Amino acid sequence: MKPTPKALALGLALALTVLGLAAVGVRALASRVENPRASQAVERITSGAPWIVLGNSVAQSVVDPARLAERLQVNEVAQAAIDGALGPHVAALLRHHPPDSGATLVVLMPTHNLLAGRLPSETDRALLVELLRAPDAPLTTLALGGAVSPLDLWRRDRTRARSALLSAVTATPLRVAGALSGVPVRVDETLTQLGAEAGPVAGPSGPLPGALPGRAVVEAEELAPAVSVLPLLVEAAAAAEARLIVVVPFDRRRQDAPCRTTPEDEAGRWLVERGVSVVDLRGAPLAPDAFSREFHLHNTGRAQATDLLAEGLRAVGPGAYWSGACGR
Amino acid sequence: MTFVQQEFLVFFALVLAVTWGMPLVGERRRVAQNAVLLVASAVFYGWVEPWMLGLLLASTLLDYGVTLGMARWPDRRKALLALSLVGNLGMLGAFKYLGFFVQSVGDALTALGFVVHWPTLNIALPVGISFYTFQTLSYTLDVYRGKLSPRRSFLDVALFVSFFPQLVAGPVERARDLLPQLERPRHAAPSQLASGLSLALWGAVKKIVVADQVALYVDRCFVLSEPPPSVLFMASAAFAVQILADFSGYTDIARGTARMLGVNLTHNFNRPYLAESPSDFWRRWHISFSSWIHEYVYLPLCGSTETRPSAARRTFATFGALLISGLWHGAAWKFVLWGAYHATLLTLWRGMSQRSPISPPRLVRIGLMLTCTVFGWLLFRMQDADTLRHVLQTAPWAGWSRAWPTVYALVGVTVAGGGLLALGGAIEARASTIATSPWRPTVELGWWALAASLILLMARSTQSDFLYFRF
Repeated sequence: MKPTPKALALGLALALTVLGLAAVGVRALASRVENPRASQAVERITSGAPWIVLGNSVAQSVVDPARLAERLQVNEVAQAAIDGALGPHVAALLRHHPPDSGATLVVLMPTHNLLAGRLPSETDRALLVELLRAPDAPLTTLALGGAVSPLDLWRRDRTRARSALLSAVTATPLRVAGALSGVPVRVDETLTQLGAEAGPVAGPSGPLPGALPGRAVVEAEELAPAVSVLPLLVEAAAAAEARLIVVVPFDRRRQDAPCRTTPEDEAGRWLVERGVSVVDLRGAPLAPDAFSREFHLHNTGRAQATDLLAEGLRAVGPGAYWSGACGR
Repeated sequence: MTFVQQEFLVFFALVLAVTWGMPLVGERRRVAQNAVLLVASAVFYGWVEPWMLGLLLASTLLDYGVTLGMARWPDRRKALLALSLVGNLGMLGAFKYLGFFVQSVGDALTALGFVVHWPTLNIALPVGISFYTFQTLSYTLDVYRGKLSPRRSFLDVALFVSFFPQLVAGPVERARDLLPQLERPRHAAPSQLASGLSLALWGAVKKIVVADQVALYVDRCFVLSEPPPSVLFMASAAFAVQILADFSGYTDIARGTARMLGVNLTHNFNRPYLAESPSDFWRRWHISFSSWIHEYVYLPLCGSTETRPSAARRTFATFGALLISGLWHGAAWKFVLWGAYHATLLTLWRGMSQRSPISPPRLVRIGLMLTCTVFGWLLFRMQDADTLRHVLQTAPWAGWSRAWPTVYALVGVTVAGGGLLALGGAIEARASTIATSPWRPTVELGWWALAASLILLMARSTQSDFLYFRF
């Protein structure tokens, strides 16, 4: 049957309505939720804890905050590392959500992540926009190639809305089961790992056994220290009157590396010259089977790794370099 | 190039514009259209790895020459068929199975106490080789059996082998279905373009909105070391949704894009999870491939077509066909095991249905078959033999106190994904009613907007390949 002009006009109107509703719906949904990865990190960095760990999943796999607090003999260590974060995300967190003055900030992530320049993926860009509270030209020029664009805002909203939808899908059976059994359910951060990009999964249980893999990551370009986010990090730490310690993480490939007494990498040298303490754990005596990947550790290796990290943090002086390989 | 890359949109728009926009008529137009489609297929296939075009060309030339030879030297048909089989299956074997074979022999010798120092063969697997090898073989086999006359036009034969919508992941088309369509003049019909776009968008929704989201959860569960069995079973159920959405999504995009180019491809899926028995499942799942295996492997293994084969012969043929089917999916023992599992199911079912005087209700039969299918997907998806050993040695309820939130989350993913597929399937089943309605443009425009919105909202930042690209 031949389509009539009326049917075509109605179809166009319907299509435009659907697209409009979708756009409004995404915006409405996004305004009601936040990216859980970002909001959790913001909450922790501003919690007033005297020691704060920043970084990415490597920091999450290495540091047991309670054990570190015990070893450092401090009240609390806040874990504000964000899964999948790169240097610009840490800088955004620090510049836009400064901690209490006098805090000690431990930045723990592989050096190539720390020196990342232009963010390579949509998820990375959306996370950065999520962390910004105001325009930040130095940071966005470096990480986004310019100011935050409407497309970046769409990406942020899209990421939030998608995460909220997937979270609702995974949480609904739990909520139904909880309502039927009378057992309340809560969103458990340990299960957020299950869905990777997908956002939180509701549930009361502890972590699943076994190593969880990382996301497929498009590597960002690695910049020279002077033009990377390092100057912004140093500046932000100084503005917050916080002590900054950069930790070079354990590295499975460097377990046999010879003892080093001087910082051998450019980033370490650059930081030490500017009064930042550097703890280099690359050659630290950590059992090879503690690693699940090059930088990530199994849960079983975390206690020993936290102890080694605490040893380095206690030993390193202001603006000094400490290597786990030589114990100095 | 894959269907869900942005480059494909530009590529396909160009192909569509050139195919329908050329100012030619009659036979010249048809030949020019086929030439455009052949060039487009070469670009599509060689986009990332141009060297793979050499294999595709070799396979095409071999079967083109062999079929013409069969017409010219009828008394040498058998030898020519053998040449085609050796050539095509030899290429498939060398690129897909040689490394697996060498490693398996090495492992067996090591297990027997021999010291083996063979190098590991890292041979790149050409995308879609399993699909186009079977497709081109069907042409030669049909010509050999006298069901099809050999074609003199190399252009038509080459396009039949390499037609880009179905080149890398099917449907596995038979020459008798596809070749005549390529030999006829084709004209752009607005209704065909519109329905092709609707179908392709539905395929993209299945892939991007269902399969890729479910994969986020399934992939994580299958790499856990020693996961609770309940997690693996539920992850297998979610994988059942993922693989159907992924593969049927690809097929729908292939059928939709082909339809927009004036070519109708065969159906590949017919609600496979509503199957009531193992044989019913294979009539509904990957239909083009299953029917290929039935026609060219199972029936020849059964022997004479005039007398009914014995039960033993049918069992032999069933296992032969399904072991080949399993191995076709990949060079790994888990696929062989999956094939053997389905062969066992078919044989048991056949035996039981012949002996049992009563048949359970339809819903029970569907439920039973679905459970068996999901267990099959566990074998298909598991990372290694240790996973299976762990599942078989561990009580199903072990670790439940830690596992249940994950299991419930997977239930949510499975129900939501499966529900969306079922809803879409129900609407698709009424497509013919919509097609004849005067309100068709209204429905189509609304659907296109809805599909575009869903895709834009749910697309992952790093797009994953279609599962069947690996086979």
